[in-house]
Amino acid sequence: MRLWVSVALVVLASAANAEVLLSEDEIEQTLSFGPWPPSLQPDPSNRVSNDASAIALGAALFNDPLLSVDGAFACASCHDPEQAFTTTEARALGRVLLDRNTPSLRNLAGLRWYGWGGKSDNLWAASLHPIIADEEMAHSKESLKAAISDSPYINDFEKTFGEIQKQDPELVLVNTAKALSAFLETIITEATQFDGFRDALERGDFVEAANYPEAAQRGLQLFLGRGNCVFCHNGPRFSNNEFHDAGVPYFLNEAEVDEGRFGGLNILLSSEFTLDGDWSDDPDKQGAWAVRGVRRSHSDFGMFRTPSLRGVAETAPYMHNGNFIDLEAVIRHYSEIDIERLHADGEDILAKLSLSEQEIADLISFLVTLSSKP
Amino acid sequence: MTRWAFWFLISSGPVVACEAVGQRAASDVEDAPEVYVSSEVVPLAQPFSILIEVCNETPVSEILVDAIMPAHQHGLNYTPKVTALDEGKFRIDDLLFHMPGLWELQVDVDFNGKLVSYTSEIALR
Repeated sequence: MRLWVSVALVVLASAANAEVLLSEDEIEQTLSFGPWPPSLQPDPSNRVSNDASAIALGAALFNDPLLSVDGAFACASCHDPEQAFTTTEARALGRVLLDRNTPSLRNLAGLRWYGWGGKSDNLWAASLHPIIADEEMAHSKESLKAAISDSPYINDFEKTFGEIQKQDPELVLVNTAKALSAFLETIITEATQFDGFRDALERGDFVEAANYPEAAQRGLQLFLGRGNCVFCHNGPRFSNNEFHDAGVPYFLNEAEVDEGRFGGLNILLSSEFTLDGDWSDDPDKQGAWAVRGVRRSHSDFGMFRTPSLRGVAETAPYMHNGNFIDLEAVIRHYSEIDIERLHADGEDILAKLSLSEQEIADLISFLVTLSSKP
Repeated sequence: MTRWAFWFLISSGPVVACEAVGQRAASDVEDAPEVYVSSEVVPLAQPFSILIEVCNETPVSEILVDAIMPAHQHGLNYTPKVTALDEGKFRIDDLLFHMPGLWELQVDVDFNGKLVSYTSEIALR
């Protein structure tokens, strides 16, 4: 009994001593990571965006192996809803071992670029590529049309997109991808412990904000300050959605490299499925400015898109090739980074941080609070 | 909404009747005509627009606009779209600053074959 009283007193004392460690400047920066969830508008390039029937169709197709030519696997096989819409393998396993880590499919609505190399500027194009990629679901446009026509989904498909036999196989492919996209737009992570802290700061409720663990606050201070993480991981999604060289090796083997953004731009700029193309349903071509104006650089080689950190604790392993098994490994990479591995003529934003063990633990404590399921 | 601020160096130059608003851009060229940059807000990692006005007796029909982050040794990932308005005014769209920190906006103006460069520093939080 005496022990329990002592423990209770210690807890009370800790609560009384809890405080907001952030400076005024750090609080202002912290507010820029919200509010969450963001206010999102339907995708104007996808006429079935936010359409309930299309969302239901997309959800059904996402979970059905019908979308692979031989019924071998579904979208959900690699983007497992029970595992934050990814899997725990370092590199995705399609028909062969693929080159990259499976990205989580959460919080994708409204991004400027999709995929590690940014080969798509919209979510329906990003949904379309795996269906026809030989190493993934391997459908042809014709085999997909036949599969949809003969499937239990034909009535729902025709209710949303019209009679399938009047549609060119390429239109069936695009419509299928737009149904998938309508579903994927609905996958949004919940507000987290960090969001509670951030919102309390915005309200000026420092008593409530002080409940946020001090270790996480110290980690946030590092994130904003000496760690320079905020250079790329900024905004409510904790990503600037641009492309960077993080010093992670991009050699696939002795003879091949992952071209990263360089390869992504090659595909993007030759694609008919961009926001500037005829398959967009938006007559105003909103968002097409990016594909029209994106610049190419030889330093694009081996650069990859900044991943969102929302829910990051649930999506190990990390980086474009799943090189790091957990968050500690990622932080140690940046702490001990060999800048000789970076592009000599690339951006100058990374430096060896030489973090202490306490600092590494604090950063992990912060990152864990970006998940609703730590 | 990200707060922003322009800092600029004062350069002397001939005064031309000009009702420009915004911050005056700096130039190393002595007596360079005045150039002003104005914008309501500069968001982080999202596209935005600015207005540039060149105060010169002879109207200028074309300018070039770019930006760099000197400390990070990188520039813009997208080419800004420049649209000439009237009387030396230009609208610049599709600017995107993808990192917080100090950006240097660069404006090159062709005055009858003489190229004059201007800069404005933009601190982005």
